[in-house]
Amino acid sequence: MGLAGTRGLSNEMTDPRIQRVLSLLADIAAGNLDVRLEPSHEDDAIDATIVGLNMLAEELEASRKKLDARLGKTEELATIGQLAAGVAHEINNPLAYIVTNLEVVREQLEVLRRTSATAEIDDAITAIVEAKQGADRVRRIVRGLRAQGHSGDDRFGPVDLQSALRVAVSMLSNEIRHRGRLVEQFSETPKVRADELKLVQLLTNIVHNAAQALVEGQPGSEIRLVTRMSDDGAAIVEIVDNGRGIPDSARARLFEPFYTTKPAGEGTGLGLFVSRSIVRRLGGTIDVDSREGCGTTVRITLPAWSGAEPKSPTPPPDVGKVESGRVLVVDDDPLVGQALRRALSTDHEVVVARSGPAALEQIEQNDQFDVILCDVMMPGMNGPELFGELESRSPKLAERVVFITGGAFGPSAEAFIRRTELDVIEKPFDIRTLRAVVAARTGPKRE
Amino acid sequence: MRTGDRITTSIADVWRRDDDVLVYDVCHTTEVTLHSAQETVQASFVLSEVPLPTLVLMRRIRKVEREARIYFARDPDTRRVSTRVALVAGTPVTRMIGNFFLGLNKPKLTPTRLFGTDDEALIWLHAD
Repeated sequence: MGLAGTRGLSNEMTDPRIQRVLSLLADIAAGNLDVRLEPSHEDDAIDATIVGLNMLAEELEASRKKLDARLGKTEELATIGQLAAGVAHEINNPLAYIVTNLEVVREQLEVLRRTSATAEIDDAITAIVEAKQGADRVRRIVRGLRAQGHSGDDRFGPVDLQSALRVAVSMLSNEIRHRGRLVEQFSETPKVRADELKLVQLLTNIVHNAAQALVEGQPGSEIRLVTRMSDDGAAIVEIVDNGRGIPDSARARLFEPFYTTKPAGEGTGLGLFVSRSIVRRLGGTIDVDSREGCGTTVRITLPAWSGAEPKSPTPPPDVGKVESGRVLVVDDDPLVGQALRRALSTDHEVVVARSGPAALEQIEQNDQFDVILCDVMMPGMNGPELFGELESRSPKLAERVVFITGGAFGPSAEAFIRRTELDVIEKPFDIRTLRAVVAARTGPKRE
Repeated sequence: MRTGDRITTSIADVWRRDDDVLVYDVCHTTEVTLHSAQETVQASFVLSEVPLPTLVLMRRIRKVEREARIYFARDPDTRRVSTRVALVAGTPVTRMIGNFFLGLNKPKLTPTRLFGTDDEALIWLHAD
């Protein structure tokens, strides 16, 4: 390089615009992305640098705004999920004693009917059966709600696809009913390997999309739910709607996060993205066939459960006469305690404690308990903490704990429940299941 | 304004050459906004019913709004007008804008390249 080149460089280095460029760079590096510099009229390398940095700051600012918006939406969804799980827990507790008490009353009416059959008793039993059907519907909706709030690690097990579909549909029955009819075409399918709540979440997303695709007021609008088995033994579910369909231009971007064709405020753009990630975790596939104006078919294929049936707290419905035992119920909701006492006291001596410390007190007085039915979420000492205390004091007694839960665990309780080998019964529980779990620990009636 | 086969917009003169190349001569401004970009592309619809190879003379542009860059890069309008686009940048600033447009805004609908002279650009526009 000759002298002229050196002089040129020197001139550029002393150009006052260099200081402005460096200052703009410092601003961008510090995250001040709304700063811009006006180039001079030289139209030289320094001006080009200024123009380039302006555009860079502009692009970075736009990306940051987009990311902030997405983060806000994600946080909003997480909050809604936590709220849904909390609401589910709050409903499950009263639902547990509603269902249990209804069943106890029904049993007592059945006994009455044997001695004095009247039309009034028959009517009362019918009313209770119908009330239980209503409670069962609430249970399914709450289960669907829990699925929406479920973000923890997967708990894989054999899951019945048709039951999961029905839970998903329960959540959306109002939306579907006002837009079209629902048709079920269920063929026999194997149980699939899945986390049940995640599977419900997946199916809810897809059925919800199908419902929203139906054109309101259009005769013949319908959603068809089809289940069948593939030639290689996998389970297939198809959600078919005859709604608007997906435009060609949108098809390639369907699974992109935050992409939506719905009007502002109606879609998060995360439904299909989340659904595909769930399907992938389950080892399955998801395909979408659609024609604009004709409708859409979403086909999900999931591998069948190939392991052994897990240990289930669900026993045969009729356990017959059982050996009387001592049962400790630990639940902070007094009405749950009362309902459990009512359901079990025909066969067993039932002691109810409303907290972990109260349970420990009962055990100190007399530790001859065959079963300890223990709630998971309790103020002060929660279920897993009580179990830990029992393990250190009396490991044999700790083995007799059966957890009862309405959901909405904290992270530590959730991790504990996931890894425990003890039985876990979900609220609202079936009274026969509950009795059988207790009977399994007290044994059959010794003649 | 339209005179013969030449259209004048707020930022450019637009015409169709004898060799069926559409020319945008951005000679009336140093700053391209979204509005002026749309106005210019849509005004040129009348010059041809089919998309043509397009030569863009960037002249002394000093700024192209981000929204305008996104419009040029992604709006289907551009596909209706152009089969391919040659940007001619003769100054350091327009070269920076052109490189930035190709590198970051990534025009996807129409093949687009940056050239230093009209001649190089026309050779590419006429190539099969």
